[in-house]
This record gives sequence, C-alpha cells and structure tokens, in this order.
Amino acid sequence: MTATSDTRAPSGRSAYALGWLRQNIYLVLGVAIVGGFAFIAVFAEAIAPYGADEQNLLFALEGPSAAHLVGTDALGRDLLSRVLIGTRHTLTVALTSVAIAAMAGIVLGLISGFVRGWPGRIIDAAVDIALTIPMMVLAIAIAAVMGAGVVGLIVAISISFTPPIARILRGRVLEIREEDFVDAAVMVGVPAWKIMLRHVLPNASTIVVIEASLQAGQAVLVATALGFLGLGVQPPIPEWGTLLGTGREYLQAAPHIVISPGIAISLLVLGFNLLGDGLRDWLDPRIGA
Amino acid sequence: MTDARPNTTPLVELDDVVKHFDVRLGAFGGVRGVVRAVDGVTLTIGARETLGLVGESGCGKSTVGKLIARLDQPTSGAVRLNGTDISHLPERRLRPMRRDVQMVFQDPYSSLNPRMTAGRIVEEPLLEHGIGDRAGRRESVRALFEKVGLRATLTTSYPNALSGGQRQRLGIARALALEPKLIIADEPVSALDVSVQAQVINLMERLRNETHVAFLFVSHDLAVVEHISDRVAVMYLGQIVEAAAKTDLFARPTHPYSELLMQAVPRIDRGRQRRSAPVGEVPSPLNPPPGCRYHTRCPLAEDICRRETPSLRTIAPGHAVACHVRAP
Repeated sequence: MTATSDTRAPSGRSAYALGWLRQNIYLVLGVAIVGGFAFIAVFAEAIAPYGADEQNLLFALEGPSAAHLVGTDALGRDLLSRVLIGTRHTLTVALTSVAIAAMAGIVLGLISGFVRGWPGRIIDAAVDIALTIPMMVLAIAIAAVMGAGVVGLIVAISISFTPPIARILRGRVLEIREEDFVDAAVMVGVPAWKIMLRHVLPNASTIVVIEASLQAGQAVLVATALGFLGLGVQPPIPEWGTLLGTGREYLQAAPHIVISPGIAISLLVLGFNLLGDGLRDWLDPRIGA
Repeated sequence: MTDARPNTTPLVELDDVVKHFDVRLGAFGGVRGVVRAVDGVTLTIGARETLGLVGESGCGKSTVGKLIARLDQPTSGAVRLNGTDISHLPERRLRPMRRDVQMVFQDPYSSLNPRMTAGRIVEEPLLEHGIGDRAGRRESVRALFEKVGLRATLTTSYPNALSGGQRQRLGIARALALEPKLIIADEPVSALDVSVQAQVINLMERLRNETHVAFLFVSHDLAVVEHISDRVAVMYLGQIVEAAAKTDLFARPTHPYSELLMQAVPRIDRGRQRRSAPVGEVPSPLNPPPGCRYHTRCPLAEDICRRETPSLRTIAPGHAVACHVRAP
C-alpha cells in the first residue's frame, strides 16, 4: 500500500459503499421494512396509544380522527393500537413456522440429496407428492384438522412450507456431492453424517437462507388468510388476519376497519419479498433474475 | 536402474478388476447400455514405488484410481490393500485402512471446501483419526505447511485467497497428514499453469524421496510421467496394454499403442522425426470392439486381433505386453 492510495481510501470506500447500496437497494429496503416491523413487534405496547383490548363503546366504529388515527372497531377499540400490537402475533407465527420448516427441510433435503438408496428415494417421493398440493390448500387442510389456534396455525404452515425447502436444498446437495472435497473428506475418514454437516450444509446454506426469507412473506399471507377464515389465531387476539376477518362484517358501515391491517399485511409481505430477492442478488448472483 | 518389481506382498494389487457403469435414461428407464470403464485390469503397486498410469482421456485411468481409493466399488475382481480385499468392505471397517491411501485431486478448486480455513482442511484428517491433542495438531499442521512450502500464516486463510499452486500444495499437505503408504495423484498438475506445474512436480518428487510414500501417478502427460515414475502402465479403453519399468518402456515401447504414445512426446534431442499418424478415433467404451481393443487403429492388426483379446504376457523381467503380434 502506498501513501497516495491510503489517503484516497476513505473517498474510495464511501463511493464503494454507495455503489453497494445502489446495487442492493432491494436488500436495503427489505431490511428496513422487516426491521421496522420487528421493532414495532418488540416495543408495541410502548408505541401504541391505547391498549389492545381497551374498549370505549361510545366511540365504536368511528372513522379516523385525532384521537384514533385510523379509527375504531365495533367495540370502540383503537385500530392503530390493535394493528401495532398484532404485529407481534403475525410476525411470531410467520417466523416460527418458517424456522421450523427450514429445519425440517434441511434435514429432509440433506438426507434425500446425500444418502443414496431407499431413504433418499422415499423422502424424494414424499416431497414430490406434497409439492403437487397448493401450499394454501395444504395449510387450510392441516389447520382444519389441527383445530383453530396458534399452535395449529404454526404446525399447518411449517408442514406445508417444508417440501419446497427440502426440494431446493436437495438440488444444491446433489451438486455439492460431486465436488472433490467431499471425496477428499471420505478419504481422510470423515463419517457420512459429519460430511453432511461440515462440508455439504455450509456450502448449501445460502440457498436455504434465501428461500426461507422469501417463504416468510408467504407465511404472513397464509397465516393472515387462515386468521381471516377463522382457522388461525382467535379473537380477541389482534392478529392481522383476525382483524380483517372481524372487520369484514362491518365492511359496508365501516370500511376503514380492514384498511389498516390490510396495508400492514401488504407492507410486511413486500418487505420479506424484497429481503429475499435482495439476499439472492447479494449472496448468490448466479441464480439472480 | 533396479528391477522395480516388488518382491514381497505388494502394497496394492488389482486382480482382474472390472468396473461397468450402467447407462440409464430417465427415472424409470432400464439399462440402455454399459460403459466398460475398466475391463479386466490386473496391476500391482509396490511399497515406495511410483507407478505412472497413462492413457487418453476416457480410457479408465481415473476410475482405476477411484477404485484403489475405494471411492467407487468394482463390478467384479479384487482390490487388495496390504493383502486385504477392500473392494466390498463396509465403510466402518474400511475407515482405519483409509489412512494408508490418500489422494491428490486434479481440480484444486473443487477439492478444497471453500468454507474451511486452510489450517482446518489439513487438521481434519488428524482430528478424525484422533491424532494428537489440539496443540499437537496445530504443530503438525504447521509442519505440514512447511513441508509443502506454504507459509504458516496461511493457516487462517480461506481457499479463495490462495493461488492454484498454493491450493494444490494444500491438497498435498492434506494427503500427507495421515502419513499414508500410497498417494493417488489424479492428474495433479494438469489444471495448473505451466510455470507452476514444475514446482508442484518437484515438490511431489521431493516428498517421495523424503517419506518413501508410494505414488500412483495418473496422467496423460507423458513428459511428466517419464520424469517422476519408476514404472509405467499404459491403458487403452479400460485395459492395460503394456506395463514396464520406465526406462524400458520409453526406450523400447512394444505395444503399437505405446509406441504411438511415445512418438507423441516432443523431444529436443530427437529433432524432426517421422511420426506415424494415429488412425481414426478412440472407439466408445460403451461398445468396445471385440478382440484386441486397439485393432481398429492398429497398423499391425491381423485376423486374430479381431477375434481374441490378447492377455498380458511377460516378455522380459518386469515388462508385460498385451499384443498378439508383438508378444505372441
């Protein structure tokens, strides 16, 4: 390093940072949106002007006003506060389900891609069958069997989101299995399970992270759809889908009730999609659109 | 030049080894054909011996290496390591024996896990075989780095920070970690820049002289093979057509195919020479010709060559040829 290049480094670095930001604008926006919602989820009580269940029947079904920025519902509860506090429920369901789906998908995908013979083939066939069923239909069916509630919702979404992760990981594992460093590990005496965890998975993790963040947006949609149908989180918990569902009854008289949870859902889904696309462009330019 | 033939139990023995690959089409497709990658190879590698295995691409020489490494199992025949047939041993029983055979790969990019540091790559074999404690392993890794000419500071680097030559040195260090009796080097320099090739060849030669490890040197580069080998085996379409001490083979190639190969080596001292041009293409191993595999291209081919497969016959001590005409 010469002195001249040292003195230039700061401006060069900031130009580089700016270029990076411009190139990864999706990622930046995605992180901002999802991060914003995460912040709201954690500090909802502090931010919300009212409690989630604070009723004031005198102000029921009122439109936006200074006291209630996005209006109130049929029981006079402040909708802004309910949407803010509801962020936690929607986000928790979506993230927990995707985390479970990712873990299950990693196990299944690794085995089906790496282990030759019947264990791989059985998993592969099961994943094939599961993939033919639309995710939403599968989730509704499982939720109906499990019964309404948070646990049923999470189980339904995790099960229906596992096959895509298993499939996408399998493809990558099949690719990595052919790399010489896997043979090299066999030669030095590394057992198969350690090869999977130490050599194959770390090289396949990027694709799982990308897929999981894209799935998180989908999970928000499925969770709120099930809530809307009454199969998800039950009232009075202010989960967004549940808010939509209860607001539907007053659609004629008080359309403002469904607008704020609707916007929140769209924005969060958008955030996760931007995050997933941005991660893909950043981490794995090969598969970029 | 001493007789390179081993006089005790050879380190590795291949006994009529056959490896066929089924060609299938689609998930439910039946077997559409059989690639006879290795078709009846008998070969020995003695302790401390460097055997060069040469042939055109697709002749099955890499498959032979993989069979000895037990990265693949033969369709039939025996692969003996120190007298034990390893061709169908379960992995659990095989693992302790794997110490004796290590491999250096052709592609220095594919052969190193990009998510592991250089030090960890060399430490892993020691770790898996429970050799040394943490401090001892670190010391061994440092010694191995020095042995292959890598700076000790590179232990914390990831492979993507290393050059092709450094990567191959790292691959050699990994192969040396378990102090094997045999190193299979599958085209170890063909992916490297010419200027680096010589360095890596010299390194392997030095290591061989220091550690007395045996080498199976698989290559299509005859100049390199001539430089490093004690003995050379020539493969054509899945079979060995000639095997002899290096000096014998290069001075008096007997099989017409060996002859053709030797003539293809450029030599400064020979000047311009008439070369017999190779006739035709290598037939597909999917449907190899009957009789002698080489008869379709051989200028000496007779009737018997089209009918009967010649077997390896010893024509001089340590010199075997499979040819009806030259070694009847």
